[in-house]
Amino acid sequence: MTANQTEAEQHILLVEDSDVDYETVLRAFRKGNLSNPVIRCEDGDEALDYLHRRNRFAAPGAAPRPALVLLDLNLPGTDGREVLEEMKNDEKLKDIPVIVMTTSSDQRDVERCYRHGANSYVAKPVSFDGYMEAVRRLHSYWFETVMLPEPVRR
Amino acid sequence: MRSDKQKAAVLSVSVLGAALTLLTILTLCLLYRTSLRMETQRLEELVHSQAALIEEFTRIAAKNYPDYTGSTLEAAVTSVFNAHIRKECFGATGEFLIARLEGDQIVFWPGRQHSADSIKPIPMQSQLAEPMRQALSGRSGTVVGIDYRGQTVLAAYHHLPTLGLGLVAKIDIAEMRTPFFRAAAEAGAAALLLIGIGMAVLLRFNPFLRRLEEERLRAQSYLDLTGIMIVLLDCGGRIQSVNRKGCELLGAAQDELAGLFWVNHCIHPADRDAAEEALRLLLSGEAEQIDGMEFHLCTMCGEERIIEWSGRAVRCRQGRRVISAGTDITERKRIERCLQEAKEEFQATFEQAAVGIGQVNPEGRWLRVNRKLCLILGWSADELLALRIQDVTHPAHLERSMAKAKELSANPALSIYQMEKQYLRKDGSAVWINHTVSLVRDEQGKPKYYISVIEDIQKRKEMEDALRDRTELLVRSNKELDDFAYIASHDLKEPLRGIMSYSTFLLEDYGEQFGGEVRDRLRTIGDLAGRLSTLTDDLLTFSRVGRLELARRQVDLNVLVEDVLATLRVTLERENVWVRIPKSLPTVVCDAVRMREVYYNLISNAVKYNDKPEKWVEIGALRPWNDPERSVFYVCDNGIGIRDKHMDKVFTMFKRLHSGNKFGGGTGAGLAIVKKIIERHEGHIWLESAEGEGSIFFFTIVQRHEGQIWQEGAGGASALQRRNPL
Repeated sequence: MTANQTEAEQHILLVEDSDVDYETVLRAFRKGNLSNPVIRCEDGDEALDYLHRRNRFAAPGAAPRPALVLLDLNLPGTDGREVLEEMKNDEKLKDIPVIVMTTSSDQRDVERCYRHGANSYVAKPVSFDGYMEAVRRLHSYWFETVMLPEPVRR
Repeated sequence: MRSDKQKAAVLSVSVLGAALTLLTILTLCLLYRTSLRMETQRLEELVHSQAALIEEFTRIAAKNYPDYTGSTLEAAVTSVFNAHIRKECFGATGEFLIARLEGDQIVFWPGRQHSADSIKPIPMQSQLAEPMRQALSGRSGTVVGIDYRGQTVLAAYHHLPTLGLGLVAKIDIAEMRTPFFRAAAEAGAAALLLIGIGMAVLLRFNPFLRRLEEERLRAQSYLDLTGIMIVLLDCGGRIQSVNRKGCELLGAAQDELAGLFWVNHCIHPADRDAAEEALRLLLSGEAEQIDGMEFHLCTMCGEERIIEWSGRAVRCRQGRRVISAGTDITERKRIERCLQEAKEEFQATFEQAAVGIGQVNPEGRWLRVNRKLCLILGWSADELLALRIQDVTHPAHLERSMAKAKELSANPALSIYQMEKQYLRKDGSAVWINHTVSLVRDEQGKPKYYISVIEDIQKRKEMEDALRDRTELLVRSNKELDDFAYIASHDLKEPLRGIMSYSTFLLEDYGEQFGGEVRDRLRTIGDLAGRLSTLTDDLLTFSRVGRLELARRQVDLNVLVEDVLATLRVTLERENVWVRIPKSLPTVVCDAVRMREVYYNLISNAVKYNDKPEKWVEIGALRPWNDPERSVFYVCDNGIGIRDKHMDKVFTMFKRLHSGNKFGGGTGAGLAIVKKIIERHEGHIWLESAEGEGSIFFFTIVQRHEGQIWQEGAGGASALQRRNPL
């Protein structure tokens, strides 16, 4: 973690339609004493609105730029794959690391996601313990190990 | 033939010569007799004239000269006598003798005799000097008798009673005969010469004979040249002569054949009655000619030939004879039989063929159809023959069909085409057929007729359609299965995870408020959901193994197995398992990920199902020395083993042999997945096991290269280097 960035500033955007998974992630953060704010979008369209700061996220400050996106693939409406593609094709958004976190372990999905610029692909562990461990490791990697780009202030 | 004629010629000439000689001798005899008579007359006249002379002289002398007596008179007579007779007028042996009887001795006067010496007196009783003895006996005449020398002579004798003298004039018979003998000898020689000349002329220069001979030779060469056997039979049915072809056919020389009975020696016993009857008809005159009979001939070397036989009666001095002619038709018969057989064979093949066959003329009209074709099309043969191929072709295929036929007839390089099309049956229904057409051309290369082979493929077409439908169904079904697997992996797992999470949340948030039983149940809910999730994962893996393409490449199994063992290290150490790899494993072409799965499952099973205190696992490969690509791989353990009756069940999906809690549990998918992976590698997997002692799992794979070959590990690299030194 760099000196000029606090955990509180580093938002995590969680694109997840499943309530239980959302709750699991929150619980994992809580249990792991991780303080990053987690913003949840329930589907792809909402996630894109958030990222582009439009519609209900159009108000200034309504949508802080996330340091990391945790993206589920199978979403109602615009699904995670489209969200990923659009993000990685967008000059402003392509530098935000996207971690695909999904139940699908289909190799086709894995390949497709990496080809479109996903930064990690994680299959959701089935058990809560596994889930918690996965979240802890991800946090440790992305916020304690690697360097992330400076968020562009607008 | 030749000798007969010669004999006749020689005989006739000889007879002619003999007759001539006889005539000559007869003539000579007559001449001789005449000559003898004339000579006798001459000698008689001579002796008479001499006697008269001597008597007259004696009478004159006695009258005028009385002193002429005794020896004086004798001398005078002798001189007169000698003077008178010239010796030459008698010929060479002619003599005139005078003798007187003194006592019983005949004493000759010296006179005209051959020898200069005087003739010695001869006794009257002797056999010699017969004419003189006759004369001195007082007789006169002629005689053929022996003279004083012992020679046979012709003599005339006369007795002079007045003087007591006998006169004899004689000549040797031999001298008289000599000219006649000579003449006879000359005549004989002339006759013999004549006979010789005659014969020579007759035999050599007689144009008739020569022509006859030439004719005979020519006829013989005709007979010999001809390819027909000609046998001349005599009136008894014996062979008189045979031409060359006949000798060839019968396998014997003419000399050997002559005299044999035609029917008994040459005709096969089965045909003898017919041959005998034919011969009888000809010899008896009931028939002059018989043609077109077929006989089996027995040759002298025991072969059988077939001849077409004709016989003709000819009359000759000896009676009726038969010229029999035979053509060897053995080969013709054989060819005819072959042709017939071939025809029947063709007919049978044509008629009984399992496919429809038809001959079609260039205009498309059926010339010939077989039964199967009629069956396929539902027309009778007669009805079909009134139709053209265009009439029975489905309109949809007519144009293409005609174009093909046109192409075939226009291009001499083509001889056959084949197409699948529909024909119309009599009832109007369409039938799918496979039509193979070949074109038969005449010598000029112009189309003569087409041979159409028509195979009813209606059933095949229907089956193909059914197969296509089924394949589509299968593809769809596979897709659905695929989708199902996907749904199972995602959509089914999400609620599962929900169940698990919530049961965990409940335990975490309210665990203190629940009793121990409730906590256990909640934990069980979580475990069951986890188990269902594992099952779902295995099912997905299993379906993926069958669905996804293998990524084959060179894989060093040593590296791969080491990798698996590293993954299992914790378990291996905990269970105290001794893993041994007796020999370095080969480098093979396979899908590394799948193969790792195979080894992972087999090794972990070997460890899991083992109750021995000292566990071991052996991993190896049996490599046939002559074919390293056909290695048999094995994983062997000293575990609990598998009962015989369960051996075929272990590879069944989700089939477990032990209850859920024993041996660490499991879904029962591992070996099913292993079997599927091995089968994807076109190999086999099987096992040998003794319950309580351990199991060996064997498997083979077919090493096939697909796509790019990747290096993996040192073994892989060396394998690649071996293959491509650059």
